Order: sequence, then C-alpha cells, then structure tokens
Amino acid sequence: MSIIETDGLTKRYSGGLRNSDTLAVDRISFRVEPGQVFGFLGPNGCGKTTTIGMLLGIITPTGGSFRLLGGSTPRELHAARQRIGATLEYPNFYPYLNCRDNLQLVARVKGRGESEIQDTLEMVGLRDRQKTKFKACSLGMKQRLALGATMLGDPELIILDEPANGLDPAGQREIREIIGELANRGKTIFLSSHLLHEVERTCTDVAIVEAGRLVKLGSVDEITSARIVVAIRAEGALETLSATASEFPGATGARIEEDRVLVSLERAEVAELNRFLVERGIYVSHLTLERQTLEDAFMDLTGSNAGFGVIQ
Amino acid sequence: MSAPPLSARVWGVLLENEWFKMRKRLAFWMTLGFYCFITFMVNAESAFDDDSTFALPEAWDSIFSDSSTVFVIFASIALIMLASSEFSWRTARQNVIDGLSKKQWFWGKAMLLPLLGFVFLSAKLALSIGLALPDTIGAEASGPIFPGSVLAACAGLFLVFLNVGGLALLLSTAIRSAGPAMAAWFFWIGFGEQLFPAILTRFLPSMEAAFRYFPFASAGPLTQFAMYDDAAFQRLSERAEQAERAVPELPGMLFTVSVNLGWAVFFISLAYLLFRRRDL
Repeated sequence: MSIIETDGLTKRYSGGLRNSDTLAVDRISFRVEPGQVFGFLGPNGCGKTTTIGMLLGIITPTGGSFRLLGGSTPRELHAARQRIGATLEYPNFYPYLNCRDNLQLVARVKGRGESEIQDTLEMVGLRDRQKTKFKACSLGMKQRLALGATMLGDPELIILDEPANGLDPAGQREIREIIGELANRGKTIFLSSHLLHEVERTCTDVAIVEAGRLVKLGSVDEITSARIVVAIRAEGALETLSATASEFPGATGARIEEDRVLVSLERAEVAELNRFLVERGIYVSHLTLERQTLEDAFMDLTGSNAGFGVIQ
Repeated sequence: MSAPPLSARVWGVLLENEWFKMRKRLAFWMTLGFYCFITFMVNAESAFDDDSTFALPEAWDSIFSDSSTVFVIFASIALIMLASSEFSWRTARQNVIDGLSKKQWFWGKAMLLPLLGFVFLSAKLALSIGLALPDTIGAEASGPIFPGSVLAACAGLFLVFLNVGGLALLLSTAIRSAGPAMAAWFFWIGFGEQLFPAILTRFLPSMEAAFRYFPFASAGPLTQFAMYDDAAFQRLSERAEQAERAVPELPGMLFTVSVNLGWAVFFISLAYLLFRRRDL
C-alpha cells in the first residue's frame, strides 16, 4: 500500500468575472511508498503548497483523486490525517500563547498527554524556552515548534513544507538532522523545499514540479545521473562563452559559476561541444566533467532559476 | 461518503480548547471587563437612585430590560474577535492540519455561542444581583426573590444571543477579519435594522410589520422581562397607565421564540455552508 497516491490531482482557481482561471496544479500523479524520504521540488508558486493543502484537506481539489494511507473517502481521509504530522508554509500558532500552550492544544486534538509534550519540547530544543510566547519567538524557534507539533503523536507520515525557511545554516543543519533521525526511525517523509542542496542530502526520491505540472519523478540517483555537467574555462568574457555554449544543440542551459561556465549535457556530447565552441572562435583552456547535482537537474528540467538563489 | 463524526471525545476536546484559548486571551478579558463596567453603570443608575428601591424581585424588570442590548453587543464583539482571528493568524488552517476536520473546527467555533452566552450572562446576573442585594436585604419581598420567570428570561436572552451572535459568527467566517466583520455587524444592526427601516417606512408604512421580523428587531421582545413574568407585565401596564401611554402589546412567546430560533439556525447553517465551501 502506498502512503500517498495521487491520480491526476488538479486545482483550478476561478478568476471570477474579471480574471481568467488559474490552474495551480495540473493533473499531478505520483506515489510515495513506505519509508521513503520524498522530495517535492519546484520554484515558488509552482503548486507545491496547493498540492500539499489538498492532501491535508484544507484545499478542495477540482479534479483527480488521491489516497492517503490507503483511504480515499472523507471518513477514511480524516482517519488517515490523524496519523499524519504536517507543517504548511510558515508556522501558524496562537501568538498570545506560549510554546507549551500551543503544543498542548495540538496534543489535545491528537489525544496526547503532558509527558509527550515535554518530550517533544526536548526533542526540538525548546524545553528551556517553553514559556516564551509564540509572538516573541524567533523564526528558528517557530520552525522548531512547528516541527514539534508535527511530531506529536508519533505520526506514520510526516509532511514538511519548507521546514528550513528563514533559518540560518546552523538551523538548516539542525532541521536536516531531525529529518534524518525521523527517516532512520522508519518514518515516511514528504519534504517540499526549494533548498535543493538540502533535499539532495536528505531525500531518496523526488518529484519536480513546474507551473503546476510534474516534470520529473524518480530517485535522486536516477535524476542526477541522467546527465552530466561540463565545467569550461576559456579566454574571453564568460558571458560570451555562456551564451555560445547555451546555443549548443545538446545543452540544456549554461550558467556562470565563479570563473567558469557550467553546461549540462549528455556524456557523449562533450567532444561535440568542444568542436562547436572552436568553430565559433572559442578555445577552451579547461574542461572537466562533473556529476550533476540536483540543482543542475532542476535547471535542466525546468529551464528556470526562479527561487533558487543567484544564478548568473 | 460521510464526513467524520463528532464523538463525545471530540466535543470535549473542542470545548476544552476553545475555553483554554478564550481564557488565555487578554482581549477577551478586556471586552468582558468593559462589558461589566457598562452593565454596572446601567444598573447603578437604578440601584443608586434615592427615589426608588432596587430590590429583587421588582429589580428584575430593569436588570433584564435595561442592559440586555449591552449583553448582546459585547458578547457578539467577543465572538467576532475570537472567531475571525483564527483566519488572520491562519490557525484555522493549522488546526485542520493538526487533525481536526473542517466540520469539527466549525462546530468548535459555533460552541463559542453557548460558551460566551453563558459567561456574559453569568457576569450580568452576578453584577446585577450584587447591586440589588443591599436594597433586597431587609426589604419586604412582594414575591419570591428568584421567580421561575428569571430562568425563562435567561433562556430568552440566550436565544437572542444565538440569533444575533449567529449573525456575528456568519460574518466572521465569511469576512475572516475581525475589524471588517465587526464593522459589517454594526452596520447591519445600525443601518440595516434601524436607519434603513426608518427611512423606508416613511414612504412605505406597510413595510413596518415586515421589519419587525428582522434579526435584531425580532430579538427585542425577548429582552423584556415582562415577556416572561406576569407581575412584571402588570407593573409595566400600571406605569404606562400612570404615564397616560398605551399599554404595551407584547408578541406571542411561541412565535417570537420561533422567529429567533429560525434566524439562529439560518445564520449558523449559512456560516457552516460558506465555511465548508471555501479553502483555508
């Protein structure tokens, strides 16, 4: 039994009389199997949160269907959601309540007791700050609290939407460690993020979404080994090299990184690329093959750098 | 295909959580405090009047009739504040993510109606009885100090709050922001039920009867103690005769209760349907 199974899941927002409709999620189908750490990737506004919102029952799909932990009817889905821990976008808690009180509200809904609240506070490092009101918490503390609320009740499936949003590198590392620990305990994790390095380190499988559509689905290894990246140095302006390399028929985009240009292409096309550049008056002084990262794969697949940091 | 059930455990959790959130919120206590102050001032006018006594059971007339509008207004303000903020803080969405169904979440909010009704009504009674005690002690009572009609009047006021507070719940879930929802509620009460009917009936006097069935207007008779207590009605009639005014005519109890109950069911049902249809 798949933990999550979507079939043509669609969400169309009506634009009313004045605006045209917006297709936020367009016939997305994927499966998440037990024990997977599944990365759900895409630039900001591509439909990741909408898809998760539909799974969590806060957004009504306009097409397709899905099953959660085997259930598909409203009653089954509600029962399944009791076995899920999730955060969506930014942590949303009662600002006038402290961390402990906020967790207590969640614990009551999940039928959990005081000892589990304390254990959770300990696990996310908020035991000493449990009396701090949510409105006075730093973003890092808020993210930890959200993660704590997610873990209350020992859920089978954990859905995390941008859990490292706004965190400094140390905070991101902590979140990664917590996710790793949960994965080691056999939890199925559905992780939505646009921090591709984090996803590459954490996830076993990924789905890449762009403009509401699923553009790639597979294991991280499959996706990153499909193509290679060639790092090129040559005399002359990097911009000229990048522009010329991107014209090569086998290349799916070229980008400047420090003093070199990275071009993604099939391994067999490396010699062809060199000849292509020479024919256009560019003499390569340095050419190395590098393993494609998830970020490279993403660029290839979406042709977009939206929301993925500075890419010249 | 049926929605998840509302079991006794879920009702208990919803009530416990709503009460917890309410009592921890400073804005709620400030609203309640201000309400108590206004209620005290309204009743104090009668209580500290040297020319008359404010002894029970006669004082029930003014206890119920004078400050009941204050009760409805402040309890509705508190309800709008508590319900709307769940949308602006996006905690409604988080609550559903944390395991409540949308149906359960809504009925948790709807439970604020009886909860706030009970708290504000209790505060009103405690304050009023407290003010009436000095005159009551030692005075010769004309009847039982707590007649059964007091309980009926409390139930009536409670129903009034279900009606007018139901409108507040509807506006909170439809507008999802405290300020505009409060403004809309006051606009309806002030303009929709006072000014607009006054203007229209100048040109169309036959419309006057129809306006009596509007939510706030239909609630009016239920805030009069004379609706529940024959002795109070007798006193009201005597005062009218002394002032050479027409003896007031009160509508039938069953009909008034039905109209108020109808509005309450309509508002709460519409709020639920609207809430269920929209994404969080």
